[in-house]
Amino acid sequence: MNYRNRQGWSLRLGLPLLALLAACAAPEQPQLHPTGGIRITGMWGTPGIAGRVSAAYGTITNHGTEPDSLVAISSPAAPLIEVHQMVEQDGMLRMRGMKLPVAIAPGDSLAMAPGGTHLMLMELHQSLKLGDSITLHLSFAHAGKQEVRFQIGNEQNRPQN
Amino acid sequence: MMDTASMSKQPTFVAPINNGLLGASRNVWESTLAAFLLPLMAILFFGGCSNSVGETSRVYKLTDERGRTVTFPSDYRGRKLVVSYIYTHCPDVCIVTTTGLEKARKQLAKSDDVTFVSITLDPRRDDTTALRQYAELRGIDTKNWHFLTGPESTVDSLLDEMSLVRRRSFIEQSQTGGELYFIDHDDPVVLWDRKGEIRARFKGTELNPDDVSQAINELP
Repeated sequence: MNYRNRQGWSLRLGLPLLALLAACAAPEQPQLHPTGGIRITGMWGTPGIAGRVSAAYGTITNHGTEPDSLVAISSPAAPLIEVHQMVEQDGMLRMRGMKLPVAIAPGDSLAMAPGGTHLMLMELHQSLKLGDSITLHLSFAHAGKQEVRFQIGNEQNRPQN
Repeated sequence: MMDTASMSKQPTFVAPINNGLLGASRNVWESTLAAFLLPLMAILFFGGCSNSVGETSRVYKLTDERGRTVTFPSDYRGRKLVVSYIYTHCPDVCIVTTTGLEKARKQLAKSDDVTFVSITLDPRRDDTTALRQYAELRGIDTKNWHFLTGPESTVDSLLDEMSLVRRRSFIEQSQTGGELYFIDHDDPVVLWDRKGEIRARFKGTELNPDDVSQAINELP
């Protein structure tokens, strides 16, 4: 095989391979849908004592083509649920409440993770221990009310939902 | 003790009125006192009160999650000690710290000579029952991990001496009509050696369990 032939083979094999590698390396883009674009994934919660608090984490993604917003949150587990954000200020970690509605643009996500944004369940009706499950109802301006059930775990051993 | 005004309050130093000095030399004495002695005394006085985070020179009578009396820190001398700060109404930060430390503890080469101590930032609400539930719900074995509380004045004195910055905040009306509050706070984790000397400091929300377990393992 002469040099020109080797170059031809390299191009024929190499270009598709490069294209395949590029496709694998590219970040996953959400598929946008005209309606009903909200998707809630990876939800889990932390243990909490009855009458006290628990936090819930996960990701809410707007796969739709229109802006949507989280307008209400409720759960049989707690009478009071808010979206909170942890910020560092004046040498202290401070909690800041995010007022509803929380807007989520098309293709964007509300990512909730330990040490950052979280759903705070306050005045728990009963204690939540590792392995328990709870239900949240999340209402969106366009996508309507969605129910999500998830497990109580911890950061090092998150339950898969 | 928790609000900003009281937390920033420093002990007041009052110079004694000196009536025992004689005639013409009185002004010289006063000048000398003002120029040298007072600043020196002030440095010694305030310098002695201002510990870096985690240091304590006094002992405190506290109670662990089983209701046992603990004299902190003298009861832990002779052991490696990992000190952190939590409160049971803490929804996020304290849990991140506690979970990271639990992972570090499980990685220790030898754990029976190490004690973890989590001191409450909220002695008003965190009684021994709350602290025991906090540990149990997370599956924490409390044999060598103590959750400490005590009278509000005692815990506040300890936290003040350790220069732990904190402030009650985000106060809401609870569903039952009570006061629901949270605490803004710093999140240090401090490793003491067997003699009570501080050997390492970590930030609770950013700690790498591998780093913590390695630091503990390396202590004699």
